[in-house]
Amino acid sequence: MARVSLKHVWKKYSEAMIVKDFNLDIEDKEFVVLVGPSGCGKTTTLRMIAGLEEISEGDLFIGDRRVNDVPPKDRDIAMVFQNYALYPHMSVRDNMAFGLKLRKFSKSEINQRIREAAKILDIEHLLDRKPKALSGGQRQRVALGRAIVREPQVFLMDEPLSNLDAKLRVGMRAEIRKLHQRIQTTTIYVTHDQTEAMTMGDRIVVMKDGVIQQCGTPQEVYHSPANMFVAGFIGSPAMNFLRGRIVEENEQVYFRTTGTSILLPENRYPICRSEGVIGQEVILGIRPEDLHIEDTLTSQYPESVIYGKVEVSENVGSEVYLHVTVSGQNIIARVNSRFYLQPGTLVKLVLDMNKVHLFRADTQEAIGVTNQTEGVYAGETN
Amino acid sequence: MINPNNRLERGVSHIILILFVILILLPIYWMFVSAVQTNDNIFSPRFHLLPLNVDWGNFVQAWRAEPFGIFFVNSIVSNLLIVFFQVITSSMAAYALAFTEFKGKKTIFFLILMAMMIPMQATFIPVYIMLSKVHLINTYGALVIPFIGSAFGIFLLRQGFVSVPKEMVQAARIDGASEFRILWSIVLPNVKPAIVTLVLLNFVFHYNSLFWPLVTTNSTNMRVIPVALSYFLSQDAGQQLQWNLLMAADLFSIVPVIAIFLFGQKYIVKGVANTSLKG
Ligand SMILES: Nc1ncnc2c1ncn2[C@@H]1O[C@H](COP(=O)(O)OP(=O)(O)O)[C@@H](O)[C@H]1O
Ligand SMILES: [Mg+2]
Repeated sequence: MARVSLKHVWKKYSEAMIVKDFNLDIEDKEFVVLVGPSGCGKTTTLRMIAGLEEISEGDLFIGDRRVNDVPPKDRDIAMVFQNYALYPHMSVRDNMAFGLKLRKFSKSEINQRIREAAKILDIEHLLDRKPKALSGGQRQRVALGRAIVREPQVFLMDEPLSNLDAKLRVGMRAEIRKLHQRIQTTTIYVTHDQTEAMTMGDRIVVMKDGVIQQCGTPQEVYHSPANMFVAGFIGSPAMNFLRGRIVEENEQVYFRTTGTSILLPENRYPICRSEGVIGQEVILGIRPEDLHIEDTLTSQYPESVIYGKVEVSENVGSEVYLHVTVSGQNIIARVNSRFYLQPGTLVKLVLDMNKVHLFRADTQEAIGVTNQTEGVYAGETN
Repeated sequence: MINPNNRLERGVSHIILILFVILILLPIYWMFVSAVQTNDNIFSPRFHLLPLNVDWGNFVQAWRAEPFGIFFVNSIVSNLLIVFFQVITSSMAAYALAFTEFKGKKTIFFLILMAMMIPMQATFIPVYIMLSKVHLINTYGALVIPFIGSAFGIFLLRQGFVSVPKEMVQAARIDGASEFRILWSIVLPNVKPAIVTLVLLNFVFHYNSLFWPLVTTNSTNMRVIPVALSYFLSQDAGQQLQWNLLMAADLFSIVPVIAIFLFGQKYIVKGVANTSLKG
């Protein structure tokens, strides 16, 4: 097991910059998830770590060794591919044994390792089958098994669950986590699914267009997004954004949008003043679950209320997603299912002001959260 | 499932296929009919579908007319050598084109495509001169060496190789396999149809080729089957050609080809279907 460090890593294909100045330190035994929309460079980054793709610039360390020029087989890593990449002409047993045989392990050692891995993954009864005779979930396990038996320093997984149906995916999510707790190998996991990232990662790295947007624990990324992209990408339904302006009147700071003024909590005043956003255009972000509709709350916090009209009510069982237009902007509130409202209903929604996020309108950076990759945040959001 | 319409469609397509089969088998049948008759009966003005006489002795006579034992050995050995080397060179080149990245790869692939367009006859004279300079004329070297690398072979296998997922090759690299090992243990087992197709097409092509063996060999013990068959056509003028013996010799000459086709037919269908459709 080992640490993995990427220092100022770039990937260029002729003119195109696919990965830009990627910096990340992954601790021994950590489970790190790279997440971002498709095409943002996650796979490329993972393949550079695996050695399947040349690093254009920067340094990659596995353990204490700089491995930029070390071929994949000598990096002591194992990779699970999105399409599993099992060897179709070999039995499950031979698939798992292939890497060990090449590394000249003894027969008894190989059998021992295969037996153990098969037991952990519950594929003992499949060892003599060919991949073609397996279901998607079983192939997935075999692919994991092939990685486990090698007992590498690092696991690399590229969207390993994306070919499974939704239900199986949720199950395998937990299994991979359990597996990691058991064997504790440093793991770098790539996905485009933010739920997968949130539920699986010790730490998640949010990427966009080849650039790390934020890196931190799921809580940090969720509660203190560094910019609007992260705020909008993590969480479902996505965070609501309202465009407006910060104004100060009588020593009080408000967020003002067409027709509405919302009083900001006093603990935000110093930041707004020191960051110089008074009088500036900003974006206010609020998650659907931080909007409340109960009368007791709306009457208790009248200065945090916005008014809107229901467009659609989506019943998801335990809750209702209210799609509401507030002065021309669409937002979603996630409320108790007894508030299933007809389209056209006028509603009052109260914002939980301690959960409000503010972003600069021009750079889209969070106000009061320093944008850095270590997931440390200044300010008192949260 | 089977509705009347469907059945009609199937019936029609069966009839068409049967007609094609007859069309293809008819000449072979006629060869057989001619091979067992006397030369006079072949040209009998009386139309006959069945042989007018059956004389199995024609086969013996044809076999004895020339040293066919030697010709068979020459043909089969030289063709197996060609096929063997071509599979090796083509699969290595195809592997490089399909699974590795290097500067100028596109250019090289383009050149290989170009090379396929050069008619083989255009290269015969320079190749002949080269071989004669190294004294390989009238040896297996002359029959085999010019064909151990083939643009067509590289192209055919490359098309087959690209159907193998790249990730499989990369997984093997991470597993610790060398490139040769990957080619042998991972790629080749998954492209059997393409390999068999190459073997068959190659074997048949060279087994049939007359011109090159004719000009590069000159002693009887270096001749190959097609050259031997041509002997039947070049008997002294005035004397009638022995069509019946020629047909008999043709028949036993195609036995190896038929054998190799029977062995590989289930793959060749797959191979052709796979390679022709993908870019
Ligand atoms: N060999 C290549 N040449 C040029 N561009 C490439 C190559 N491989 C990937 N890319 C580009 O790099 C970007 C990132 O790809 P990838 O890492 O696969 O994204 P992700 O895995 O996040 O979906 C994509 O826009 C893709 O088109
Ligand atoms: Mg990807």
